[in-house]
Amino acid sequence: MVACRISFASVAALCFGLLASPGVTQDNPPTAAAAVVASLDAALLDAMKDARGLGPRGRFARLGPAIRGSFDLDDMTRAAAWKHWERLSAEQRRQLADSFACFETAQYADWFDSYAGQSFSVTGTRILADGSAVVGTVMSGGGGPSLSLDYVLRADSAQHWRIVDVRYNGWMSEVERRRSEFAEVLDHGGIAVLLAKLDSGRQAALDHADNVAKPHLLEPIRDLWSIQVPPID
Amino acid sequence: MRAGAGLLFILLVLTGCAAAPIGEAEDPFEPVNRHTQAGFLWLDDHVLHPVSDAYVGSVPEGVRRSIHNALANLGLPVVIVNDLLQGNLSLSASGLGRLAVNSTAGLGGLFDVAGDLGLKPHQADFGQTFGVWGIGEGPYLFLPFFGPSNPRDAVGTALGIAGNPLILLGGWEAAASVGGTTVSGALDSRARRSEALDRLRGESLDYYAALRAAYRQNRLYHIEQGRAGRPAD
Repeated sequence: MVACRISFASVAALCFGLLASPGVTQDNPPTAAAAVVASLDAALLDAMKDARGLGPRGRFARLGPAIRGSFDLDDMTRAAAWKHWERLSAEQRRQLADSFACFETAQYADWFDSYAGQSFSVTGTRILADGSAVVGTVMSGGGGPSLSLDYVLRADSAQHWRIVDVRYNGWMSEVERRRSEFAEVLDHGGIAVLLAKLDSGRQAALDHADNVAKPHLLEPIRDLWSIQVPPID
Repeated sequence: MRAGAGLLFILLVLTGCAAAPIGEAEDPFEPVNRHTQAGFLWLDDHVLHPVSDAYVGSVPEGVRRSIHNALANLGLPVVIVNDLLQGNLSLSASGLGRLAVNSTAGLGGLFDVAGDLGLKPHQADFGQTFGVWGIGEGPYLFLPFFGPSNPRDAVGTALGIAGNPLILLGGWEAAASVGGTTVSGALDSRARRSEALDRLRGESLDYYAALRAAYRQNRLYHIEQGRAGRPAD
């Protein structure tokens, strides 16, 4: 069984690195938010370049500190659990947050499993009315279709920006998707079933073979069965 | 005219004018929807997926692309009309340009000459138009063959089928032609989405909930794009 716990020291080192980076100041929110995403992209690229040697579990271990440092996974877990969060005990909340963090990290370890010249670029940052930031990025190159990832970030009281949601191709919110799933599982199975599903999902992601074509949610879901013909790529 | 007004009135009564948050789906028919999805997934696993794999394996990519182009060209009248109904005149003009160029220089739509000239494809449909007009989605439905939907989009889909130019043939020829293009479109769409579908299924904690959330988010995105006069890709 893959150990999921990431050392506090590695997370602290990553966070210190982010805080020490130029531009990560409370006086320049767009730059500070973009810096967090740029740091995550650098970590993803680093793992991709060593993908074959690392394997899924190696990438999981390599990406763990970067993902836990960049994402506010506790906030994302609370948002995904939504109405159910209030009914969970403190211990259940901790277990859920930890399992969700491991699950999400495993997904990233699975998706970014090879390198063929891809690059990440930040396309822009905008600050929303509620003070959150949306940092647009595109992963392109490598001979495949480009993938746009919009990261939604919020700053805490100390003005540390962290990712609270990811929108794939501008419309598919990770939090909204997981909220829908969490609600179903918690309603019909309870917290134990949800924890088991997160654990088996993590295992499945780490058992996926590398270098198999793995398109992410690139296409409008409506057209999966629709008679409407989607646009030509 | 009266039938159209009556249809809109029924839609308004059924669907209202507000969309629930993505995580809180109006899904009173969930047990039936789940059974329908399960049945369709069985059909997909045992019929559609193998047939689409055979289609991809046996039909050269260039021929598949031409078939896709021709089907897309047949769908353009619906796109053009809906752009107009949404007040997106420039998008409508673009669609009209694509239809004119591809139907002539593109040999009946087999070749996307318009795309090479900078007239990029985009989507527009009656369900999107109703959403732009403020008609709510109503309860989530999983329809046999058509997949994820809701009353608003189901009516839109029906109108889209009726908008197939082959309807003009009349009689059995129309039914056969429209049915043929519908099946071809589904096969084409399934072949193009095969890996993304499998991916979504593999990553899901609850595939039904994930698909429902993805569908609703995607439709919301399309409606927002339509309101803003931007092409929905």
